[in-house]
Amino acid sequence: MRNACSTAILRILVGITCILIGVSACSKKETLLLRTAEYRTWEKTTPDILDYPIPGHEDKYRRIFISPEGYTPGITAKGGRTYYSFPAGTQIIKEILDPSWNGTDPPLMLTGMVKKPEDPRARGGWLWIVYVPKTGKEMVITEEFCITCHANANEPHPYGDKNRKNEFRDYVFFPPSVDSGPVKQDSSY
Amino acid sequence: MKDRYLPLSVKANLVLLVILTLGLGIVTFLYYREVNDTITSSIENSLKNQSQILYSAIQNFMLPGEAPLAVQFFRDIQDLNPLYQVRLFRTNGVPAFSDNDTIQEVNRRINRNRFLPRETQLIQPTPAAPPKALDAAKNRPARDLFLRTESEGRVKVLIYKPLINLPKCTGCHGPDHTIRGIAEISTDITQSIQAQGETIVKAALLFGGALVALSLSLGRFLHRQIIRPVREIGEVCASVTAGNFQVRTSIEQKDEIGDLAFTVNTMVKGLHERFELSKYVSSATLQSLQDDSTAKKISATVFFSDIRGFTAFSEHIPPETVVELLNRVLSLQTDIIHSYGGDVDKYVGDEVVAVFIGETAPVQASKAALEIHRVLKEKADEINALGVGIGITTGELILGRIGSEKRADFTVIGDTVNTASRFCSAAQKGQTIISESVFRFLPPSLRTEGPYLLKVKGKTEKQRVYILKEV
Repeated sequence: MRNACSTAILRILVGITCILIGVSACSKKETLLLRTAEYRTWEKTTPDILDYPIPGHEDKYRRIFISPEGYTPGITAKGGRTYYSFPAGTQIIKEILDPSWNGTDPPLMLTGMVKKPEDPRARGGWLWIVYVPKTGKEMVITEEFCITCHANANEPHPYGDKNRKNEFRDYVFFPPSVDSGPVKQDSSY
Repeated sequence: MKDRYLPLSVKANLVLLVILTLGLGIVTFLYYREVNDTITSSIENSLKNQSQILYSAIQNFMLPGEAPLAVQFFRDIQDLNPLYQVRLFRTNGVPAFSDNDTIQEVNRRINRNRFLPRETQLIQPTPAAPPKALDAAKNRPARDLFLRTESEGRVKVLIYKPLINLPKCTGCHGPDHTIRGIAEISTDITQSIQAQGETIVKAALLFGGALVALSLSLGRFLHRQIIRPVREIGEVCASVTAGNFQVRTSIEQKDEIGDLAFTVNTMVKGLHERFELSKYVSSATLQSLQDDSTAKKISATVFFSDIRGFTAFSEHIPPETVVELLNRVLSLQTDIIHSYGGDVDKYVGDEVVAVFIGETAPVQASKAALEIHRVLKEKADEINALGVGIGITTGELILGRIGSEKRADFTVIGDTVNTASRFCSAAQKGQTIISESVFRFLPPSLRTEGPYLLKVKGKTEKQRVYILKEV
C-alpha cells in the first residue's frame, strides 16, 4: 500500500517536471521578426549584387530584397520636398555575402529593416535587425549605428540615383519606385 | 549567568537607538549610492547628448573641409571649463589633427591638392586613446563606451563615441572603413560627489541629533508614564504582602496604567475587607460568597467545644468581665483550631463549632482538642480556670447556606454535627469525647480510653465513644 502510494507520488512529480520542462522550452522559442524563409521570393531593390565597398559592410557583397508590402511606398509632396513612406510590415533584407561567393553559399549574415513604428525599439520607424544564419538568432540593434548611415538616404548620397533631389526616402537607399538602374561603383571614390 | 536588571526606559531607548541607527545607516548608504548612480547616469546622458552634438558639429565642419574650425571649436569648449575635456582620435589611437596624414590621404583620394599641408600642428600630440576605446570602435555594432575612473582622489566620467564613416564622408575618406575616429568627452565629477557626500553627512548629523532628542524625550516619557507608576504599584503590592492593607496608589492617569492602578487599589480594598470579614465569618462562608454555592454533601470532621460551668460563673461577675473572659477563651481556641487547619464555623454563646476537612481531619481535630485543653490549663490563672468539654465526630454532613435572604450563615448540619454536639455536652471539663469513626483514624501516638457506650439524645442505640488522653 505504502509502495503504491510512493510510486503514484513519484509519477505525479515526474509528470509535473515534464510539463514544466515542456512549458519552459516552449516559452524560450523565439519568434523571428525577419521572414528569412521567404525573402528570396521577393523582388530585389537592386538588380545586381552590390560588390563595391561601403561603410558598415566594407568589402562584403550585398543583395537586397524587399517584401511585397513595400513595392509601392506612399509618396507625398510637402513644402516642395518629396516624402516616401513605406507601409508598416514592410521588410527589407540585405544579404551580406563573402566577396568569393559562388552563388550557392549561405550568406554570412542578413541585415534587415522592418517597418514597425509602434515598437519602442524602432529607430526612424524601422526595427534594425541582424540575423546570423549559422546560429539562427537575430538581434534588434537599438543603438544609433545602423540608422546613422541610413539617415544619409534622406539626402543626396553616393549610391544608386544619388538622391540628387534631396527626397526623404524613409531611410532606404534604393526605393523600388526609383529607377536607379544598374548600380555601379561611383568613380568619384 | 545572572540577568542584569535593566529599566524599561533603558531597554526601550536601546531598541530605538539600534533600530534607528541601523535604519539610518542603511538609508544613508542606499541614498548615497542612489545619488551617486543618479549623478553618474545623469552625466552619462548629458555626455551622450554632448557627444551627439559634437558629432554633428564635426560633420558640419568637416564636410566643407574646415578642419581648423573644428579644432578651434574643441579649444573653445575646453576653455569654458577646465574640468571638461574633448578629444578626437583616429581609429589607431593617434590624436586627430596632430599631423598632415589625413590631408595627404584626402588629396590622394580626390586626385587633387585641394587641402594644403599645415605648417604648424593644430593639436599637440597627446596620450593615445585607451585600448578599451579602440576596442569599442571595433565592435559591430559600434557602441558608445562609458567609463568612470577614480585616480588621485579625482572622479571622472568619460564617453568614447565611435564616429561613423557616413556615406557622405566617403567622397573624401573612402568607403573601405566603417569608423572614422573616436570622440572622447570627459568631465570631472569630483566636486559633485564631494558636495553630495557633505550633504549626506549633514543630513545624517541632523538626523542623529534628532535621534538623540527623540531618545531623551522617549526616555522621559516612559519614566513618567510607565516606569514610575509601575514602581509605585510594585511598592503597594509589597506593602500588602507585608500585611499593610491601608496603602493605595496615587496614580490618576487615564490610560492602561491608570486602569491597572485602579484595579490594584480595588483589589487591595477587597483584600482588606476580606481580611476584616474573616474575623467574623468562617472561611466556608467566605468561600460560599465567592462560589455562590447553595448546598453540598461532604465528608468532614466536626468539632464542638463548650465552656464548662460558664453559665453559673457568669452570674456572679460583671458582664464586661464575662465578655472579656469569654472572648479570651474563644480566641485561644480559635487560634489553635486555625493552626491545625480547622475552620471555625460559628460561635454559639460559649460554644465553638469548627470543621476540619481532608484525609487527616480526624487527627488534626483531635490534636487541636488536646492542645486546647493544654493551653487552657496552662493559662488557668488568666481565664479564671475556665475549661472546655469537646466532642468530635467524622462523617457525612451537609454544607450549605442556612437562613433567609436577609441573614444567612454558611454552616454545617446533619447527624454527624448533632452527634458531635451531644458528645460535647457529655464531655466533662478538660475531656474530649470522640466517635468510633474518629478513633479509626488516630495513630497509636494519640492515646485514648474506651470504648465506652454513651447514650445520647436522638439515638436509640448507645454510641461507641473514646476519650482522648493527654500525650
